Amino acid sequence: MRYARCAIAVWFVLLLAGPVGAQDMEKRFEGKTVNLVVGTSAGGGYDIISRLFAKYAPRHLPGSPRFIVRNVPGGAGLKGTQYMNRSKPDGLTVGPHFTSLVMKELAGVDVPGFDVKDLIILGAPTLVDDNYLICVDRKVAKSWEDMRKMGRPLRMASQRPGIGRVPMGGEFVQLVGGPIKLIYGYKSTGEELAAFARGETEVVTCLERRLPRMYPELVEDKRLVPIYWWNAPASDEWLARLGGGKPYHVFDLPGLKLTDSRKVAFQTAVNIHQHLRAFMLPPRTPRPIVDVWRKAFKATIEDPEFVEAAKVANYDVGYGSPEQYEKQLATIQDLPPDGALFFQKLMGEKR
Amino acid sequence: MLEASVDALFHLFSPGPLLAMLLVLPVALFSGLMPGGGLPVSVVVLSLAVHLDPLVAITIVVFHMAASDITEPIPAILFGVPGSRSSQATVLDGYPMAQQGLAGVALGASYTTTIVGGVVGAAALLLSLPVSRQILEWFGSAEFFLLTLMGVLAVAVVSAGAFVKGILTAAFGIAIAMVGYADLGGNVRAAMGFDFYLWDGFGLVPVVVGLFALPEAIALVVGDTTIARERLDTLLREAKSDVWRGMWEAWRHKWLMVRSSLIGVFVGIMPGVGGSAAHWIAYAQARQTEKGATETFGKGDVRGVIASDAANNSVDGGVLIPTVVFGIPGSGGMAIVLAILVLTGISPGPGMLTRHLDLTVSMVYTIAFANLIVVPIMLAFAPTLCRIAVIPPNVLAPVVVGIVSLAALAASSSLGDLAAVLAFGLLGVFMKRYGWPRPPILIAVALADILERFLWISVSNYGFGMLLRPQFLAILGFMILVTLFSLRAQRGAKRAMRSMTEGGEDEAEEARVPAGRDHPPGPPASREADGREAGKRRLSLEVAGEAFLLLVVGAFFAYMFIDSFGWPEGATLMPRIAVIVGTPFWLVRVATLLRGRGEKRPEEGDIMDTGFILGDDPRTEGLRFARIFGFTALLYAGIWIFGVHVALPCMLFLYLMYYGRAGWLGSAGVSLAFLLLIVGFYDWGLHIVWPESLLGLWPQG
Repeated sequence: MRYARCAIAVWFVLLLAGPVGAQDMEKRFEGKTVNLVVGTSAGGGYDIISRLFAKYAPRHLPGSPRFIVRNVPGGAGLKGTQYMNRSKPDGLTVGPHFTSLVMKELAGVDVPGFDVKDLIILGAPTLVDDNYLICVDRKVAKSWEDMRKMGRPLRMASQRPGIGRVPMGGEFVQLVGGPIKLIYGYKSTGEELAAFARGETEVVTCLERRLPRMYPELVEDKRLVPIYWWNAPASDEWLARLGGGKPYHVFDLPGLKLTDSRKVAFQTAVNIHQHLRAFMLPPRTPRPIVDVWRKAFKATIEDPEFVEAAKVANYDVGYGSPEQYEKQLATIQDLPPDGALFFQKLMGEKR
Repeated sequence: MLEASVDALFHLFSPGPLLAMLLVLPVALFSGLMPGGGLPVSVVVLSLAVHLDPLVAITIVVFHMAASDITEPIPAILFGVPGSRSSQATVLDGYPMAQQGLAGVALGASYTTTIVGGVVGAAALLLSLPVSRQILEWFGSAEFFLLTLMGVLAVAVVSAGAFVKGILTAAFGIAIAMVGYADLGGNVRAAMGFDFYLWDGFGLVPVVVGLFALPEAIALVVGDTTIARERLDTLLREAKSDVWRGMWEAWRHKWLMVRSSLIGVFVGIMPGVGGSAAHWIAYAQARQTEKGATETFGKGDVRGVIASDAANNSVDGGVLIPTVVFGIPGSGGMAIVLAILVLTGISPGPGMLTRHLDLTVSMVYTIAFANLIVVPIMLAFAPTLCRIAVIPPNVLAPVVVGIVSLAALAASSSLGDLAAVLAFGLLGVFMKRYGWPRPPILIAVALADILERFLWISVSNYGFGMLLRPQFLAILGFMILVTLFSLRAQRGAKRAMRSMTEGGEDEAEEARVPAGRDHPPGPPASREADGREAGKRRLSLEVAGEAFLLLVVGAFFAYMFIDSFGWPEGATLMPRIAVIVGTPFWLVRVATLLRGRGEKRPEEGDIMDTGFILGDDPRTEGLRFARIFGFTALLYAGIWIFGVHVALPCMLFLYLMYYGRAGWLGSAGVSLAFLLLIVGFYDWGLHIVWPESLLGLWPQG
């Protein structure tokens, strides 16, 4: 009898909880201000995507709250992340996370005030199948075979060991014994392209959306020879504009010291980087709030007006689900020891 | 091109951009006057950009940038606080001029120079658009490194009379700038156990505020250089007429203005080097090439203000080139311009020289227009601004401490920065008091990152081959020529000075009397007490002060060098170079001290400083120092415990009441103004995240 009474009480509570939860969410956000914390200074990719998100998200959250973008720069995103982690888990603080911090933690570095396990991911806003194509300066070599015969590695600009998705294919080939040498110290992708254009480096990632816009003469003069690609194959149109032969997939390049675990480590790192600027909530945010946010996040990223505005700002947007992201994190954590070591090297650690 | 120029003119003077400029004008003027306030205001503009027409958005930001640049020299001249990193050199001569009652002359010269610099910058941008790509592609990282080195070597020139200390402090500055996370090695360098706080290294704002602003505020109180009330009206009258004198001075040095403006444009074009180096290079070349400048720069020579401000304003035109043509922002402000461009659907790149040429040209016009309308406004209000120069030190100093502390806190939202301000403040006070040049540290901290990156890229790319590149050799040849010319000019100037002083010491002494001041004439050293007792005490203080500074620098060098053995290869190059270059100079100073010459004080001009104005009672001065430094320390403790909203107005009120004797009404008024500034400008306007206080008295957001 006692159990029956308890069961009825629980049933009654659950019955009320459904509709009350929905109203609760409306009340929770109505007339409130959501702090969108960006761990970088104003300007730049994180800030621009966040500001666009802040413009379109209110219409997809119950109660249409007001958004304020707060820039908390410092520590390559660490300061903003720590600010997020200290915020109340009430759904009124949200912001993009930093893939580089996640990668560092996965590579075994203890990042202060940050733990991958605490991550509550809402999804990624810019998940698109970017094609990454490595090209060599035609004045230097005309094929992968030419590159190998040169007897010296060819220079490629990069920002720092293990950073970013753009130079990752170069970093990988350098690590597995290919004829590429990364020159670190450049500040941005724009600087990397400029270094190639003035002949300071010999290998570059041919970004289909950016390169023809910034340096049309490189494409028109057929100075770029496609060598290999990763992530997604380059379009036939792009290859035709560049001229040259059909490029290899990075794993098919002859003469490299490749193993399965190295391939998995590289591919998963690429996949994680594709979830660049994924949004997160503070740790310990209650599940109902997380669910509401995930729904609103997806709806915002798929909002045609948001997509259009991002396109105008030169960003291709695409929704990446939190489940996909979590799966990639698990893959890295399950790597065999040699794969894990290789991943650490790929991330610029344990060199 | 002609068609685009005409289109741009029509665009700019259409109702949208005109109204936008009118609305943003007061904001720009205000943000330029707030140290460190310029950049955050453009963030507010950025947040509106997505709702605006591209032309209007770009006009707002470029106009704001150009207009606030014009007002930035004002805090530099009046408070001795650089409003941004691009007005640092203005402090060196502008502030001593204000201390001598010549604020009007400095401001007048600054505004005139601003017009010329802005217009030359805009014209150079317009003319260089067709060829700028070719110029940039001719230079590589090795040349960018050399140009940055030129910026840092300006230190040696700036500290010509205190060469050893100049190089030593520059090396120390580079070592300080190396603290924090090293991209090239993937490790945290020399963080002294504060890995998290120092992850990004020491911020430029706390270093500037600590090394410059705080010591200047302290010097005001210690020297107690109060203006006699009866002279106030006379001074203000002088200030009014002096503005026109300043303008005349600027016109008299028209070629210096043009030369410095062209340097600004040229350095601005270099991606990544940008505005932080331009005004220092211009200042250094003026000191090298202008007649007698080696003796007078740093003591309040109007030519120092002219050189610095001309480059500071023309650089805007220069940095726009890599920003719009390559999408590489040359400064923080340019990163915002870039963001606005992409947010409004404009792709930076060659298209800016073809499809969007009218927009690019309209930026040129906006810069020129901003200069043409803001300068007359500032000219009209300059005399009013000069009143600040005659406010009693015990009122002005705490207000300056309040403003700059707020700027430091808002820039980083970190209580650690306040601790850094205090530490650098103490260091700055010692450096100022014991004749160590502070500007070299500042230049080194501002440029060290660029220097390290380009050095690493050049070494990795070319090895020793970088020394054989024709472009590299061309710049090197130019540098050697300038140095040789400078050495010759310095020798000539010294000969001229010697012959002048031999014949007219009395006149020279008279010329040093700061107008309107009550303290006795002459340089600080000559104003020291005549009494034997006070002299002895001073001597021991000089030795102790020098020893303290050498201990700090030496200990840091040793720590950095030992620590560097655990770092990856990429992270060690620059820090070790800094330590290895600095150590011999450190040893020379130690040897000088041990031989008993520590008490020898260099000339003010040699260290680009005004030193402390000292009376004959070290005890009273010590008490004054303790009072203002204690106020600052207590203020920061209060911010930590109670939060900035409570601590800053309350502490200011108490200081102004008891030491400033500003009365109930005046003290409460200033405190309230600060509260309004924090809530209205920083909270509502900029959405600043303040550090959490211990008691959490004021809720966030």
